[in-house]
Amino acid sequence: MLARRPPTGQQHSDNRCSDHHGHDNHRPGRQRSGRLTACLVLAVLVSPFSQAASRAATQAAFDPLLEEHQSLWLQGGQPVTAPAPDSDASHAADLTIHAALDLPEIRPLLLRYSRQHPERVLHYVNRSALGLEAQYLQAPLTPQADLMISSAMGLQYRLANQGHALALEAPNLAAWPANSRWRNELYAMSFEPIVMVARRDALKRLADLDGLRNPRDVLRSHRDFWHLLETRREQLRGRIISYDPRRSGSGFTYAVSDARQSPRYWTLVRAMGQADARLVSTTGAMLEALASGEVDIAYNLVGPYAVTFARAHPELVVIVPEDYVLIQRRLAFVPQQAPHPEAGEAFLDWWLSLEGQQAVASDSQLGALHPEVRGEGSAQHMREQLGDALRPIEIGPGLLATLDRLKQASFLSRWVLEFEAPSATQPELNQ
Amino acid sequence: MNSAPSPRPQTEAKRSISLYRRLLSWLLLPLLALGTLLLVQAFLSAREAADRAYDRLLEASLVTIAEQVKWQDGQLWLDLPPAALEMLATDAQERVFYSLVDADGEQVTGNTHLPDANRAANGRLAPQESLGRSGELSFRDIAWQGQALRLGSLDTRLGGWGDDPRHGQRYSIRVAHTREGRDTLTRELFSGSLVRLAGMATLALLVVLIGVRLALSPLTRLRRAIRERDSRSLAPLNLPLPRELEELKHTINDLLARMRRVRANQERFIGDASHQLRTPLAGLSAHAELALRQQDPSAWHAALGQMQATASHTAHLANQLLSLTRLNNPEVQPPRVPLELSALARATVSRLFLRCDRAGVDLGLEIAPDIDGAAWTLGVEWQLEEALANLIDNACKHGARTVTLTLSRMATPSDATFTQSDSAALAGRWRLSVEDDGPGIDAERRLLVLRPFHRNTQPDSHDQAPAQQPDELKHHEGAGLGLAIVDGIARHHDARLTLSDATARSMTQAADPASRTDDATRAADADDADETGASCGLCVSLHLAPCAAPEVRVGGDDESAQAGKPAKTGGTAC
Repeated sequence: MLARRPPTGQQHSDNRCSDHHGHDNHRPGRQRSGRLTACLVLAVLVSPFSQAASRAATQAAFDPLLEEHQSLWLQGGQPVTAPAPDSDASHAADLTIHAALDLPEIRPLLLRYSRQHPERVLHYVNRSALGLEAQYLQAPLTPQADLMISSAMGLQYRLANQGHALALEAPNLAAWPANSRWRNELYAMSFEPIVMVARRDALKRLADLDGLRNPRDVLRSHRDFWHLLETRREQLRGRIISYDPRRSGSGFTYAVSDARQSPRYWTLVRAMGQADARLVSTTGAMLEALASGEVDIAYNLVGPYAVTFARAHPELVVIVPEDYVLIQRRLAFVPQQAPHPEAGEAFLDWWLSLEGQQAVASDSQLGALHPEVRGEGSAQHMREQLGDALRPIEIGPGLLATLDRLKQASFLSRWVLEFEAPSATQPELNQ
Repeated sequence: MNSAPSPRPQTEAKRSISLYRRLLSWLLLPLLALGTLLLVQAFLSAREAADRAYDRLLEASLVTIAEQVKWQDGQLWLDLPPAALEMLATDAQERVFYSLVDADGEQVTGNTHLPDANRAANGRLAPQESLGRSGELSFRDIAWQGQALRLGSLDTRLGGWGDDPRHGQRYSIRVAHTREGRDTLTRELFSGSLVRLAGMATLALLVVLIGVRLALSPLTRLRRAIRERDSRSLAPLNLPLPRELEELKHTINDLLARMRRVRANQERFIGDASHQLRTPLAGLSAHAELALRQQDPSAWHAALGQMQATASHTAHLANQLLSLTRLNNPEVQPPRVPLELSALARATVSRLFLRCDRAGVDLGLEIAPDIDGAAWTLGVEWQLEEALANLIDNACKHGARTVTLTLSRMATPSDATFTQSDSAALAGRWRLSVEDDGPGIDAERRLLVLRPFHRNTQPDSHDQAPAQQPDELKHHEGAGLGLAIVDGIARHHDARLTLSDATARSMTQAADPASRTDDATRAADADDADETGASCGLCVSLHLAPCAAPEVRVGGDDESAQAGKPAKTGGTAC
């Protein structure tokens, strides 16, 4: 029984678009340093083409296997050649950002910042949230990063709670809304809804079955999703996809948050299990499965990634639940022993300034939190549209509880129990 | 006169500590110390209050977590309630730590390894009463990985019942958070009491300043009253003052009263003296005038004789005034040296013998044989001689026929005859007394005769004398200075002067049983002698303190032996 299994299988991968870190999770023995070296070698090899590649990446599919998609060197707004692999990367760059945030989302903002500060050599590295934390904890006294950005709010909070974060004083940071930061150490940089994505054709089919004129009316909320699973189980069998909370930290966080919203979440889990839902560990994998037509509906995806992906795939529709929508906020902090703490603080200060936030709203889907930024792409806009439905995941010690070893095991055993529960109505189909 | 003394007190006030400042420092320094003490106490109690308030949060969190601890899958199990940690974060967004430890001290879960609050090496322990059900609660400040934390721990055991050994298993829950919230609350509480204390201190300062100024204002009034007085005025101070200053005022008034008396005495003395001098001078003038009217040279001769007698009397009076003035001047006193009294007495007697003889007075000298030549005392020779001469002169003038100078030693207290303590004070002293068989003085008047210019002209004492021979009396009568001079000399010698009735010639050592003053310096008190009725003659005695003989004279003891044979040297009839 899964419920009796020690919770060692729990992994924190992040919610990147690709699934190659899902492979990482399956191969825990792989050397991180080796991978880093490989990254640098790849970066050197492909650097002459990096600009073309980066331009292509904005339009074409994001390929996480290419190292230039995971690491970026910038100076004066132009990508530059990475230094020799044996040189110390943290010394070659004036500002090193380690993040669990896919490059396509942040690249325009990095370019803009680099243009404004041409004297600085900027180095951006994208990692899985778990990898990010593990790399930091390997040598917390000699960190390579000047700024740590991660979507795994719990992990970031745990590091800050242990005192790894530097207290920051910059003016925009001090003015940042109190509920979007923790002390003056941990700052929320984004406002990302957790959404559902469905294929338009599947929605149309389901709408026809119910006699609804607007296909969108089929799926507007969590309750609609549960209703579909209950009523159209045979049509949807095997065509639902979601996070596996046992393998994905983000998936686990969303599951815990869902469960805290309503106890009916467990009936949803049970319904998904009875519909033989597929479980994967990244948003990217879900989007790929949708695009290839393998599944019809994906549940709990990272909003910005889904929106960006759906732009390139018009057959997909992003559904923001109307009853409640979870909001995740990427948290950033400057490590205590950062090589250039003032550079990290300056970048964060720029990001949280009005100018930076306007850029965030216009150039990305990350969501601008600044109270004065309005319109498309801002948290204010989302609040106006969804009102009370917004459920931001609180930045607080409650996050520590979700990271508790026993808590995770308890939750997962319950989750597996519900997911694998035999169907009361159709017991013969439950195999 | 106001301008002259004013600069002096000001400069002195600058040099010495002012009473105002002294009072202020005595009041304000303890106030300051008390204030500091109160501040420390306020801070401690503020911290304690903050700790108590926030410890309730720790306790609530511990209890909330403890409710979720159970036995599952063969181990201690905890379904950590997020609210338990969120309540620890408080408004100050504290860092939060927790840990669950089993009976063996192994960490079951937690985000850090927290120490046992009961056994933590550092920090102060705040033991709490155990909550019946929950187990042992304790709180402690610890330093943990460079942070100051408040640690709370709950040691308890699993509930349940039955044979299963896991029931009743011990475990410990520990939670900790940073102290920012507590420190903020402490600061708020402390600043509140700081404001109250500052207000109280300001008030106290004002009250002390005003109070001291008000309390010292009578002193200023007194000073002003003294300064504004006429410098010649000796009138008593008359202004309302507080009790403490009232005493000072009384003392000053007493001093003024004494000065008034002294001045009155001086004025009277001067008046008496001028009166005394004016009378013989007027007599001289009258004699001369009378003689000038006559043409007979024999009448001139008689007048000149009378004028000469009057002039010598006046000269004697002037001498006495001079010596009295010298004696009464306390600043010019000749030093006292050792001298031998028997020799002095002999010299005096032999000097005065002829004069007495001429006046028809029998002058005698009695010296106890055992002290002849050994009666040493500290004194001024001319003064003692003067005193004796005055006494003998006095006796002659007051109609004595026989005058005896006696030197003896007062009996020691071992003699049963002297029981009074006053006599004991005189024991062992030399007694130099002059005894006469004159009319004597009433016991109640004896004090008065020591005053200058007092004339013993009462009818009861000299009832027969005026009738006798007015001229002779007038001639014999002194100016009334003799006894006053003797009194002054006695005072300078720390001797005691006693006046008593002359009893019998043989009873030389008759002490004065009625003398009662406390010290030997001042005696003149031979009053209320019981045998005043049989008053006959007068005995004036000087009691002088003995002293050791000087070294050189110790060897010449034979002198006293040779002089010791006759008790009475001058017993011849006048």
